[in-house]
Amino acid sequence: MNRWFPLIGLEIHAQLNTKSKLFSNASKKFMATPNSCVARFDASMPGTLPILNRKAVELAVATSYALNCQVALKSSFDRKHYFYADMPQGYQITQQRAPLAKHGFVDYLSESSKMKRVHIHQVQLEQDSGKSLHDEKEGLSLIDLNRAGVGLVEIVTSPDIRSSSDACSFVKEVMKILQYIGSCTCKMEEGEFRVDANVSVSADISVMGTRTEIKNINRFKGIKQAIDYEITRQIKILQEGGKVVNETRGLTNSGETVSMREKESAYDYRFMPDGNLPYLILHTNESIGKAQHKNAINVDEIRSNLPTLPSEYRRRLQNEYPFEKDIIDFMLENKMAEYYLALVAHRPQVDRMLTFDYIRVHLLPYLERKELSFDECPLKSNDLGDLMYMTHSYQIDGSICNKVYQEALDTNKSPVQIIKENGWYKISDETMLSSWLDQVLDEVKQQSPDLLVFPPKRRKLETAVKKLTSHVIGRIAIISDGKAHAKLMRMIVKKRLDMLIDEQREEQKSSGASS
Amino acid sequence: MASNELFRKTLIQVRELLKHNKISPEDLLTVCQHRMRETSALNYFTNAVEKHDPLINSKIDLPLKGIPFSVKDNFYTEDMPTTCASLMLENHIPEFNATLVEKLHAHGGSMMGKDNMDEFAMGSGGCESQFGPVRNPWNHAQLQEEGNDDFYVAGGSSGGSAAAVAAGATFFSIGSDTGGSVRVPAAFCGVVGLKPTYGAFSRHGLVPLCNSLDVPGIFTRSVADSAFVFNILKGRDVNDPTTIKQQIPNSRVKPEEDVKGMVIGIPKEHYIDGTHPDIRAAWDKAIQQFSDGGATVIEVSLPNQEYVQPCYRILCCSDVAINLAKFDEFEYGRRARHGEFKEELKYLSRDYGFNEKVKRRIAAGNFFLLEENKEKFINKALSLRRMIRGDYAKAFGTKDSSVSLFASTSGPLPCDLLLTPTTSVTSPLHSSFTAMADLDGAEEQDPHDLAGVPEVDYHVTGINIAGIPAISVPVGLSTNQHGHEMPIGLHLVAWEQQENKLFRAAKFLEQESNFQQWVENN
Repeated sequence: MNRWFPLIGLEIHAQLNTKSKLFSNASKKFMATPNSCVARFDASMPGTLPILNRKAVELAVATSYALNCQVALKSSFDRKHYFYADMPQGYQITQQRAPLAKHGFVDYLSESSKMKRVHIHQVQLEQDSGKSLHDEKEGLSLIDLNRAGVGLVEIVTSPDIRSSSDACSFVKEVMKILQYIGSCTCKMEEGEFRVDANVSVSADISVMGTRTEIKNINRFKGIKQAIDYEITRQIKILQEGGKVVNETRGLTNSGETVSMREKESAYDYRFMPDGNLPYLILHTNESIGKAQHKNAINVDEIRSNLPTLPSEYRRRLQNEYPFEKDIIDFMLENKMAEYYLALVAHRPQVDRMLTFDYIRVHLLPYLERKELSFDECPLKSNDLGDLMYMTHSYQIDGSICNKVYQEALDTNKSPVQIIKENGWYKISDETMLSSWLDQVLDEVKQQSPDLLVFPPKRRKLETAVKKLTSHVIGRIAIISDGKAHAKLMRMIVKKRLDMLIDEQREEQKSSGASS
Repeated sequence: MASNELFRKTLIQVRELLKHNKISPEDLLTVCQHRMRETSALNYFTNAVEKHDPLINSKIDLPLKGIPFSVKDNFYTEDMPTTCASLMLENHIPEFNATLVEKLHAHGGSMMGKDNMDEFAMGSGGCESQFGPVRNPWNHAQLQEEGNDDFYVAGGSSGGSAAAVAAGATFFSIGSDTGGSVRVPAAFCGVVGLKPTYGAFSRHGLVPLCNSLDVPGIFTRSVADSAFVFNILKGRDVNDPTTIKQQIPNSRVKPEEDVKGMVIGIPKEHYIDGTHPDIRAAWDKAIQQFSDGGATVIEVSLPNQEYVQPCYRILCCSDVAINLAKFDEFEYGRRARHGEFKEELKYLSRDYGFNEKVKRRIAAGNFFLLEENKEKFINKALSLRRMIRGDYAKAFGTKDSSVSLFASTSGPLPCDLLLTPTTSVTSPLHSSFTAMADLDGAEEQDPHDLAGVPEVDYHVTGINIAGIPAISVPVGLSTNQHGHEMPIGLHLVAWEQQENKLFRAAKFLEQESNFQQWVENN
């Protein structure tokens, strides 16, 4: 029985998070009325010319750096021809000859918690196409150009991936990166993020088999389905002595891949430089001074302003506390890492897990409800840190914590201020608490010494201890004017009473033995 | 003032008359409309403007106030048909004005009509229009009197624009020049034709032929007029990313220009067989005039000149194939009456809507673009393009970053300008042009058709490939075998954005040749 080695490369198409399209000022909106977001250029009106969207270039440059690519200071645009009605120009503007960026990599954590690397072959800017809708009943083809010309970054990987689960982990990491730098919201359900998978299998690990390309996978589950189906299908063909055909395939709703057309043999995109677009010239700190116009883009600036990437957060979170992978993934997916790390930096004394849980259970649902990001959270990380610290160090009662949290969110006052104003500070100094306990126990000894005799004569031990505890705590509350930290006090009382019981038991044992 | 004098004036001259209230804008309009009717047989307009902007009488002083002009029919004009002289677009009415049209309106100009042209700007005779060929005003009346229905061709593809200015219907017109389409008809019709630096004028609203070569150009009766209109039209357009980003300085033409200290290069590759002796003589005379005027005249070499036409054909056809893809009756263009299925409809519509030449270029373009032909054609053409531009850079002694490989610093004396004829022949009769262009018919044997019509486009096309400015100036007349005098055009070339040098030398040629004087007197 042969062992088969699959090899997978991906092409990711991510819609750039811009207000307008890549080459026109038409807006980019999901689910807008058909053909309501179409500029003259998008309808390929003769004599109209493409105007490159500066923001799209900036986002694509940021994306390239986030994927550890080398950004080309001079890149160019080509026309890729195909004649579909939803592509009114008869071509797509893309970057074939000189792409924006090359030679990058992405490190990701596989399902087995191993760090793995995928090389990025290139990153290029290109246009999205329009949509064709077919009304079978009426026998009509309808065209919606709203999506035509929306800016995409295409991220092309080297064939470095060996399994569908690695492909999924890698795609998840890329999604996180794009979301972190804000270049794409990556909503697959809205078509903002689509994947083509090139899959081949070979009996020899050092040889690449004939590959097929599964186009336009537009749901996350589809990535695994398509790759698994294709690997199984290809292995079956090869085992039966057949040959895999180099072709383009599509993914059905039931998770099977079906042939669409034979690829390289039949289709010729007839690439040609686009004469309407000058070279895309980018600048560095050194060359920006010589730039001929004020819209010049400085890549060094973009690079140095790049926000912290998920991989860096992962590293910092791991250094911070040995969280499990799932917890870190949860924090990264919900973009709480920065908030969390700032909080623990401010109050290193807090309990890590309790703090994470508090954010997960209380703050995250609140932000989701209000559609806010952690950046926009009205309760700043330092303030929540103070509250967590005071709670975990028994400066306030646990039961008060939620109350303060709620009031802080409602009133914008800091927790410290709220606690101070309400006099919710508790005394957690053990010497102080112990001296109050001593005082009360003395009282009891004088007033009803029976209560301190163990085992009690008339009651069960537990009942007696319970009764005594509540009496003692009640008295301490009065003596301390309610300032004793309830939980801590209870712990101290329990410890002392346990000690008393043990002492008496020892005494009885030894006196029993001597008598 | 008698109308027969007025329509022969230059733009600058009528501006003076308007300024000093010697004439009114209405007078000018009436004269031009009259002239238009008189010369309607020349067929230079596809559509004439019926209603004129009442604003021509406004008090505001605008540089072109009341000046009649026309625009080639491949520039978008709002609410007015823009046909590219093709059946495909016979009813195509744009919803916006080309940037240049907008500028002319904003400066007070008065549009008379849309200029007839070769269909989709493909042609060098002005003959391949669905509205019929443009007729050259020169000797048209004489031929008619002789009972000969033949006529001289206006040149192409901006034939209508040249003929309208030569006939006196407008004081200037706008054409487009992809491989000589402004300068050739200017030479044939005896007017000044300017092709500026690529990117000096906006292409927004110009139906493209070849995006990287197309440049709008100006037809006028004098060099000073050309500079005047140039100053109005130049400049960055946010709607055209290929327009030059830096400020382009205004060009000024003095009433009398000299060429002292200028270096004029004569490219030796431009001495070709088949050049008409009168044109050769006019060229030699101009060389002498420059020399007498204190310029240094030297011989230079453009070694890659022989590759200009193949390079041009490949780049142009490839873009044509792409740019015309949208005219498939689904996106744009007229729909064939019959045809049930999408592909059939598309086929029938395109077969009906385009002329033979356009169809041949589309086919050739698609052939060049095939992946298997990429190395043989497109990639070769792209490197030829750099080499051709490099030749010019070297002649002008320019260190051009995009051609640094080819520009040598230790070459001969750097030139300010190059001087050649515009065409090797004067305008031929339509009958003989058809025979000449049937060399074009060689396309049927040779599907690549990389030769062009050498008598007409040999001197001019390299300028588009290099992206640099050039001007054709009428300098004299040549009597042909039919005993008709036809104008001769000479061609001045400068490095990019040096239109000021171009105007200066062109003005010098104009004043030395006295051509304008001759026109006014006849």
